[in-house]
Amino acid sequence: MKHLFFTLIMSLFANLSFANNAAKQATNDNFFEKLIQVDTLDSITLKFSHLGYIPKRIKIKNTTKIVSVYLKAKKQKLEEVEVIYTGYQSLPKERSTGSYVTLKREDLETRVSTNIMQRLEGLAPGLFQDKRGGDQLYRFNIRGINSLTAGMMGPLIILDNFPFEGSLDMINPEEIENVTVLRDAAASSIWGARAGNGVIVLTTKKAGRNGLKIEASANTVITAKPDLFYRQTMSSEEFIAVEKFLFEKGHYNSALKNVNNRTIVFSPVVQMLDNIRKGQISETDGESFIRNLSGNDYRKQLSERLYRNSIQQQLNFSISSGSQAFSNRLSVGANLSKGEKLGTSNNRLNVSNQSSFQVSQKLGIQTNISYVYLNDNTRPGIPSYPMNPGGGKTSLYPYALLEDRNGNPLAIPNGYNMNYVDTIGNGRLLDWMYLLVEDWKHSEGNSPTNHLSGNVSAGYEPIKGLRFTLDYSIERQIGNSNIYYDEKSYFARDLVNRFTILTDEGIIRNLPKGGIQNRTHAQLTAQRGRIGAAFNHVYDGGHAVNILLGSEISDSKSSSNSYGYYGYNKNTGQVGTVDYTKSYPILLGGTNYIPNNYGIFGGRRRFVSFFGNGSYEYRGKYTLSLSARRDASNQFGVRTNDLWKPLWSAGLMWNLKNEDFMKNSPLISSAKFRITYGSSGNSGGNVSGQPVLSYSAVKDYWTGQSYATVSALPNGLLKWETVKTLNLGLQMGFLNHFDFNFEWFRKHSRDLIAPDEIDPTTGFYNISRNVGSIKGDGFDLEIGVRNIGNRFKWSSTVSLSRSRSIVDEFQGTLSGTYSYASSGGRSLQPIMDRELYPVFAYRFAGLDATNGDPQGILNGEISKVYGKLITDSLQNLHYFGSALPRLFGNFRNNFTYKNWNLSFNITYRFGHHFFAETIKYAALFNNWTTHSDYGKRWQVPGDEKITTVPSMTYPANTQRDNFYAASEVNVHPADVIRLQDVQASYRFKGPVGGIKHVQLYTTLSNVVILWRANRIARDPDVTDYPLPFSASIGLRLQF
Amino acid sequence: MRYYLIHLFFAIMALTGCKKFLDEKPDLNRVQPSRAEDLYALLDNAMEINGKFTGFIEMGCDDYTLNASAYSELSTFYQDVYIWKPDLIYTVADITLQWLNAYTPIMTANVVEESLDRLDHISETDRKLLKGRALFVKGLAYSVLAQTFAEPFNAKSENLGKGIVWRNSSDPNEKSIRLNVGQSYERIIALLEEAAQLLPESASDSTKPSKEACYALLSRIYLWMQDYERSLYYSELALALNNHLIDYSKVDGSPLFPFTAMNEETLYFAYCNGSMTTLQNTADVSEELYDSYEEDDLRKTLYFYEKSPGQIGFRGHYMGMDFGSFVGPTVAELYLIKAECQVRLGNTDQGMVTMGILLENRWRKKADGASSLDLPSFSIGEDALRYILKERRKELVFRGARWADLRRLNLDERFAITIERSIDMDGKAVKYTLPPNDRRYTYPIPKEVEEKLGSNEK
Repeated sequence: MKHLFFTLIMSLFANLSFANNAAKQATNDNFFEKLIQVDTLDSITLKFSHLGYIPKRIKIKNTTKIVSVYLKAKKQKLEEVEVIYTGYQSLPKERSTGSYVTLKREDLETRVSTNIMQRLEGLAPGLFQDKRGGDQLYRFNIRGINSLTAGMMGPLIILDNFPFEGSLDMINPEEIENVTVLRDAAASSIWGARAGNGVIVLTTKKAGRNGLKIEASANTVITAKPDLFYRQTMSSEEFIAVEKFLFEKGHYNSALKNVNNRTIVFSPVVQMLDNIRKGQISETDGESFIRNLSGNDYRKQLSERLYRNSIQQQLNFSISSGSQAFSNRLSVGANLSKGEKLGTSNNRLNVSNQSSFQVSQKLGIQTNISYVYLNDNTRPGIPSYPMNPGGGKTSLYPYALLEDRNGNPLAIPNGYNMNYVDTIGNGRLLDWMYLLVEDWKHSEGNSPTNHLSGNVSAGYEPIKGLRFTLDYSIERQIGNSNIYYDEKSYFARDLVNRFTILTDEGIIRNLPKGGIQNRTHAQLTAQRGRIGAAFNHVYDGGHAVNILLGSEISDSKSSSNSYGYYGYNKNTGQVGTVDYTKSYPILLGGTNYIPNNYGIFGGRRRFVSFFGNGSYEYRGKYTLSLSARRDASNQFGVRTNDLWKPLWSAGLMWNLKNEDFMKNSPLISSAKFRITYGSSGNSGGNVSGQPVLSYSAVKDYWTGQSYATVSALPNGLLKWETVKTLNLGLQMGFLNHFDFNFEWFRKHSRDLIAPDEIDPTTGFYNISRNVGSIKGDGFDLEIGVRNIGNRFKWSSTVSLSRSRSIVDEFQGTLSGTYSYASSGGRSLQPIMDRELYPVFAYRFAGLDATNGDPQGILNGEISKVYGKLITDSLQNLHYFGSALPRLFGNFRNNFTYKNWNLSFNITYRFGHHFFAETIKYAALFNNWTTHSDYGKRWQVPGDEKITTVPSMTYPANTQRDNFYAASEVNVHPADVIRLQDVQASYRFKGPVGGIKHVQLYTTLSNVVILWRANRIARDPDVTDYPLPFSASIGLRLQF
Repeated sequence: MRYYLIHLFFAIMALTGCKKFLDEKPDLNRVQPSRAEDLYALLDNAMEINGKFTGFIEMGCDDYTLNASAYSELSTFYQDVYIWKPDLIYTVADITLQWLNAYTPIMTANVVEESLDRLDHISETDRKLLKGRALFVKGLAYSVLAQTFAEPFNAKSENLGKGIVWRNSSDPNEKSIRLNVGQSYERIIALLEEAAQLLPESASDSTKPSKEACYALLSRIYLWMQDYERSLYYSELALALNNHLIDYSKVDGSPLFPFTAMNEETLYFAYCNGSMTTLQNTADVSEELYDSYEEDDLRKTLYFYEKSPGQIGFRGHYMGMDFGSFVGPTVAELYLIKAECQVRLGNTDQGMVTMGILLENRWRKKADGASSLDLPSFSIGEDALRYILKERRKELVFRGARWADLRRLNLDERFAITIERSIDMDGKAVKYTLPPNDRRYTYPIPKEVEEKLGSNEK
């Protein structure tokens, strides 16, 4: 027995693997010594290998001596092995043929938000957010639009292993370790009939296997309240001038004289003018009353009294411990926020525990249990600006006073003529005044939701290379939503009064006095199971094979029931009784039933899927991948399930760097070329080959019997939408510091479903049909610079994405010309050979120099025949392209100096257009909808040279207004560059008070628009208000 | 190991074949019609099946007027309808009220019939009843459409003019066709004759079709077709099943609407919706009509009331509320048809006896309980006919009969009249007239329908 001792000294710490032996090991910080005891008589060959180094084989004779082995570093292997999570498997990026974008923890931390999707903005090339629908209705798309149904445009969201069905607000973004965006067919086709719009995979943090780790973080975000003054409105002075003008013209005469004017809202100015005319008030008193009003702007009071800067606080804590056999991670996150409207708040608590057991070498089990509590408290009584006063008007007169100088609330009209509600009933009715600044206190809404989920995954590896997996998850969500209007709320008082009958003897209240409580209980139970088998093997000669086969079954059941109480007393729990079956006279005229909130709804979605994918790799140079999937669902028509089309993809990757000619290139550190093609689906529509009937929740009025209506005609031919994508990608790295990634794609989405107009004689106006197809193409370019510099380090990424979606087939019915021109690119509106969200505008030929009428072009000639102009053929309109940008991207920079880190993100969008709003005189006269363009209107000859805003005429001509508002002068380029966020952080060197790592950071979001193409100072990406600026500070600790 | 894999593969395949798992309905409230109950539920939707007939059946009549303010509050479409404008521009809402809703019962009935063909486990009793009900629903719906969107039937012509728009099935891919007038009536009669074979003599409540309702409707349709023998025949068949009249002297006139819905006289409960110009608050009853009621005629008070000084409103709806016009067949209508046919066929005296039965129930009772009715007697048939037609207008006012009567009576020069409207515009009265047999007696069908019609080649 001989002993051989080797001492190996190497320049870095790490593991070491031997070809045919094992030994003890000893480590210190920078030097690595290894003592190996080998029992052998003959000579042996030892292979020394280490991650990032070129392996070396050494033959050792039967001697005793110290051998020093030096391994040469592989230069390009500085980067870690990047792994992609598809939701089914994790793939090394090296071997993937598909198009993936991975966002790591650091990327996600550059922005502070409580919703994960808000953090993705401007980070993933190709992922676009359309914010024009407002905060709650962000529409995402990956590489353009593949559907003709607005609700079917969004990508599929996967949380860990399964599609996430709940609200994204449930997810604590601090718990997300990384996000993978699957952009092409090879990447997403594993998700089959739901992956046509791309897939976003969210992967949560997992326990480490190396000892104890405790982390805590806290941050506070302050967001500015919305700037109500961003809306371009007329001043009160201008508004009063218009009211006087209209009064003179007799505009209000019929309404003032109408004996039934109880539901017509009049402004104080018009009422005062009427009083002056009737001689009830002297002209001087009246005029001074009006003069006093002209300085008001109720936005100021609304903003001061009912809005505030919102505050969000997030606290997160996690404790993770682990060894090779068992690891566990417990995390708790709390999010407390106070909304921009007074009295509103949103609170969330996330608790989750994830454990991993390595039962034996062959069997591993992972479990995860998580609980989320979410409660959103709202104030239904706080109106949005502009407030809708009802009674035929849509925007409140600008000079409304919400409270007097002493802070006493004042009444403003809400649905009725103030004189009427003041006097009717001689005090027998409930007070019918609406005090805006007071009323919000009397109604509240909340929606506590509890979500509990658990999942178990087991992996069994009977022999090396073959692995069976079993996943099961269950989630249950119980949510309530309650809206309560107390007895003093305007809502309750108004409804009680409307259902009151005044008689000589007294009053009859058909709807009891008291509060009104409306409730909805909703439940969701979802279960999913998946079995899979994966096989990996590397054969001699450099052939590597990878196969995954599996099946999945899912069942999600949702139900809700809603009900309401009248005459509800919150303190005693008493409720009043009402008769929903009778129609009662309404105090204002007419008859009506008492609004009934009862309903029971339920739904069930079931999917059965079967999938497989595989790849073959040859010598690390060529990888071929294939994938296929079949889905069946209880939502598709029977015929669709039977006529299954395989959704498949194929891809090829060529790793040029491993070719001999490039292997030793000092300049090129990596080079890969990828090509993929395949199809994925987009399932939507709930269709059937048989007619569908809906049972009514209430009984028939006449017979008291239950009844049903035909809710859908037979439509069994409907197929799911399919998207075929071709993707070419070239990735290159230079000198280990520069990255270049370019992908070009072409998509063809077919059998797109859109409502197709049909003969109303059928009993329906439209049915869903596969009526169109869209061709899309574009590219995603990303150039990165990593860690340039020594002490002062700089990393930067610039990305540019282009996508275009052109309708190349559309058999659906076209709407009238005006509906395209007036939508201003805010609806999908498919039209052959045009992009989606098309912006069309009428040709504008200036203002008539004699009277300021807008002029258009009809049959090549200048025309003022507005009725014909607005219905002119669509091809005569000016087409500006899409309202969504053709090019967009971001420019991220990160600077590190000592312990300081500074990063900022600049985003840009180019090549799209938007419609600016303008004055419409008929809407101004009748609905009080104002616009500051009023001040720029044509007034005297000569003005046509300096303005395009038409003159004000009485009576107003709706067609003239509509023509001008939808004409090309109101279309502006929407190109914009904005400084999206800035983050600065400081990391303390070494432990601080026993805490291992301490990091302090501050973030600014929605900082500033750096440049915009439009000259009217509008934010082209939003409809109402620009996203408010927010600032946050935060702290991260690791024990 | 690959052997295992293949096993797993098949296990999964077996799972995907699990049809039952996928048969679960995706929405609790949505089902595919599969049981007789489902089909009954479709037909029991009285609000839609019985209450959505087109308001055109009443809006063009001369029984009411609009004052300037009521006129000005109407949408342009209904203003145009009121003044009999020839080219109506329908908005979506107008198509819904006047066309789509009118065809919804037809679509539903088609769905019921097609489902019966598909489902073989439904009992013969249910099958008969459901089929009969579906046929009747279509027959009535088409008959109202025939009086509004189709040219009048003229017994003396070939009736090749424009008839009703017909749906062969509920399949949205099948085009609607426009029949000619002759075909329209032929098919409506065929529907109702078949329905009469299948339906029970009377129904549990009058929202549901019955044999008596079928006969009454056939009697009405033959009257429109000027086929008095057949009209008389069916009126007698119907009266043999139900001849119950309401004694108006026993009706309490104090509620705003003295008549209840589904009352004893109603053979089938049906009314129109979207008769925007004739609603109680909008329409004033024409003075000439109101004045024609005698003081002892109880209808004068039970049908009408003074809305405000000088303005008479109608309240005699057989729905117990103000929706539009009642359009269903009633026993009273049968007596009127019977009397008219008897007189037209030469039996003047018999006709007047028939009239007496009806009117005795309409006149005030004397202290001794006898009717105060003083029924005139006529030696000349035409005088009796004029009397009956006048009483017909008075009895069936706002009951969906006047428009059809104007259309058919205009074909006879003796009874043809020109009706007029006038609107105060800035103090000036603007007059509109509708002469007999004018093309405006047929309402234009919406452009959206016209464009999509298939050809009528059969």
